Amino acid sequence: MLFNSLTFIVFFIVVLGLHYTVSSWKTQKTVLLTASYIFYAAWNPPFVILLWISTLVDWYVAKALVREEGPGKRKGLLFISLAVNLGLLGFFKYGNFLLENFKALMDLAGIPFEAATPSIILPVGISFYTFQTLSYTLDVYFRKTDRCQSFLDFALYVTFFPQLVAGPIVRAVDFLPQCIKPRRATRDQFGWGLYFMTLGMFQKVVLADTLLSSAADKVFSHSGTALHFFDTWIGVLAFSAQIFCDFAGYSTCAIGTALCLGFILPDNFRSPYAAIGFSDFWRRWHITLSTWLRDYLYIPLGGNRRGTLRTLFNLMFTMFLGGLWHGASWTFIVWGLLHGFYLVVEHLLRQCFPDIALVKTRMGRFGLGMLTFLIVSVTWIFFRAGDFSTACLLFGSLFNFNGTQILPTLEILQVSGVVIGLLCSHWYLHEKHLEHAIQNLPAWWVVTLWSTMLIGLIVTQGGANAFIYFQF
Amino acid sequence: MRSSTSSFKTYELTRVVPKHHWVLLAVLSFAIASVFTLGWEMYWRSKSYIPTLNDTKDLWASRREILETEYNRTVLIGASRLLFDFNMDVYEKAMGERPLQLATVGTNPNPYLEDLANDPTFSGTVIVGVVPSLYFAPGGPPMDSPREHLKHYREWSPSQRSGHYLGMMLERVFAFLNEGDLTLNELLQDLKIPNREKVKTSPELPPYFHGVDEKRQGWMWKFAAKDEALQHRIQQIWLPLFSRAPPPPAVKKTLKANKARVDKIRARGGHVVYLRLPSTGQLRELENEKTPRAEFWDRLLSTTGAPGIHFEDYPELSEFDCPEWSHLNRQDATKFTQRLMPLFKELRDAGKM
Repeated sequence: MLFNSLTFIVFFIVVLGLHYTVSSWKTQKTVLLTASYIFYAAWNPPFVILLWISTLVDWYVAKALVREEGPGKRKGLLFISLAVNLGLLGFFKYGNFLLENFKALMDLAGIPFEAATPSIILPVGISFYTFQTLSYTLDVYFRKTDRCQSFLDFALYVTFFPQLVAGPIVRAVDFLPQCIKPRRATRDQFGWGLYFMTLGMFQKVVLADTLLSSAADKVFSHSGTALHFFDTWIGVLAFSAQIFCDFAGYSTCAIGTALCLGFILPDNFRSPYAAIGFSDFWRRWHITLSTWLRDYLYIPLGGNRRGTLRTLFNLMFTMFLGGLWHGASWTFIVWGLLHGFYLVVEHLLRQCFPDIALVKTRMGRFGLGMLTFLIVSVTWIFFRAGDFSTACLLFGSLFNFNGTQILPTLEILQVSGVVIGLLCSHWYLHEKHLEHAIQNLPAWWVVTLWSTMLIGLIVTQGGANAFIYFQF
Repeated sequence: MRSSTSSFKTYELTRVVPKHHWVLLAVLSFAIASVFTLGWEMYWRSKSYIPTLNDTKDLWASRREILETEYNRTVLIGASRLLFDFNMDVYEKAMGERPLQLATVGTNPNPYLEDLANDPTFSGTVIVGVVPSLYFAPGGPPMDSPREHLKHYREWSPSQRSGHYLGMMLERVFAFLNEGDLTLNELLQDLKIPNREKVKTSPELPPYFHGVDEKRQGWMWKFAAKDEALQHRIQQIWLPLFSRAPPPPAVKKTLKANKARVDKIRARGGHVVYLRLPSTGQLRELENEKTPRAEFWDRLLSTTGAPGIHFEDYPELSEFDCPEWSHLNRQDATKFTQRLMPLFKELRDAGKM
């Protein structure tokens, strides 16, 4: 079920009605759990079984981990959880990719190999809930958290519908304590939650789908002749803004939806296009994934404690898996590796030049921020292009002054307006939270912004386009 | 990614609520948006728009899925001419069965024919509307549209299904909920901002000028049938769209594929009937030049062995005038279908449908 659909509006009204009329907290949680399964099943009912498998396996593994003291047996239990969760993820998400690459390898070796191409449908949000449940088992294994005592609470943690299919990826230590006492949003929390939902839908429906997607689609689906540099840059910037508005829009809706129900979810974005450098970018972009990768991959690998070379390897390896997490394709892997490379270069530069005065000036910081934005945007080419030939065509077109012009003036104006607005808002919110910025606005200004977003949604009549991150 | 080894989970889970009276702000904002919606609705009604269903992929899927249980229904596939020009009430009255309308605007219906041929349960009659320049198009938007419709039908989720029924409830009330003409995107297009000199864009498509009902009976809007300025605008859009002849390899491929598909459907006891609907004016001249009958229509019938009805073969079918050269107005569509019925009955009596 998509947030930007009529079905969700009706569903949410019913859930809110039940949530606030039922008096028993246990019944409230049961209502939320049932609603979450309905939310997921509304996309493809059989795939609810995968959620149940994941929930049951991690529940029983964690239970056994607490009882078991022997390191060997504990490792065995952890292996069961990893094998089941990553096995399901691997089959549904990477099955075709592995088969294709195996076939290519056999061809290369001159060994004839023909395999039927299975038609595997990717269950929506599998990467998100797999990482979420894994984090619980890993925390119990490393004794960072206690085992959850209530199966209902745990099942709700795995399945909670606002963030089930595209994050934020919530840690058990953040969510499970919220299940202990009854959650009811205060009057102002409820209103603020609605504001968040409106903002998220505006980002998705009006900005990403209506004003940005057409230019990005045209440029990234172009084939044959090289494009004119201007059209290429506009298309690249359009996708850069689109992926932010789409994904941040989902996260904002999720946070707002949860808040209306009295639950708090972590931020997932913090003005990433005003990041100064790549480590700063990853502190601001998809925060719950980057902290997950840091805590469960980078640090266990040794982090930066085992010398420079090992640190650089850890960064590259973590970003390689980060790229692979996004999709079963070599273009995603290259995208991840490039970000790993940028982090490596930044790490080395910080070691070699720890105290450059320019970096501390306002203009210097702005310049570095813009450079970061441009490099991040250009790197999105690998993320968005379906294959290397499209990516190469676009890279070749970035400085081609005689290429084909394909973008109408209207779309150029739309993209320019949104990108400039986005950059201004990110720089304005660089050091502050949205909440603080809104608090400083007079009430009439908030009403103007809110009603403008609502009117934008009404005029746009957003069709229910799926969120880009659903495919991950 | 931080290049430090700092401890487990560093973000703080708090959510500050800005100090405002949020319920009051919500009420005010939603009230302003409601007043705007009312004004927006009145404005478009004053411009002759009336509530109508959007001809969406959901609506198409809701018709296609009927074939999952009613295997021998008569199905209409084709482009907008079959959607506008064919009155299903008339057909039902004459033939005793209501056909399923699966024709879509700007479409090469070959993917639909392929879908029906490959459906092992389908054993009904397919009436195929043929617009040669679309029917033999090798790819591009005329092929993308049916493929997208079929993909949507195959992946139609329970959530999309309920959204479709909720959407129809609103579309029956609000005239501004017109996806073809009145979305922000369409309104921005109407600004007609000039493009750079060398920009290669797709040819302009005609504005939305038809309505559909829940069973996908289409019709040309009244004001499109009367407004000469709009008709002239649409006529000028048709000319570049119909100015390309399908390449010979694509024609050969289409003929071969049609033969196979017709045979498959016939083998299960089904039938295929081709239908060429009227076009007039300069557009008809252009069609005769780019897609001459002998090379396209006649070859299609001779290759497949399927029966066909060409409007020019029957005086009673060729005396209609299309207001914008390509489609009949609503009244003429009814008359035209009435005149088709004896021909269909003949085919039925001959066991050809």
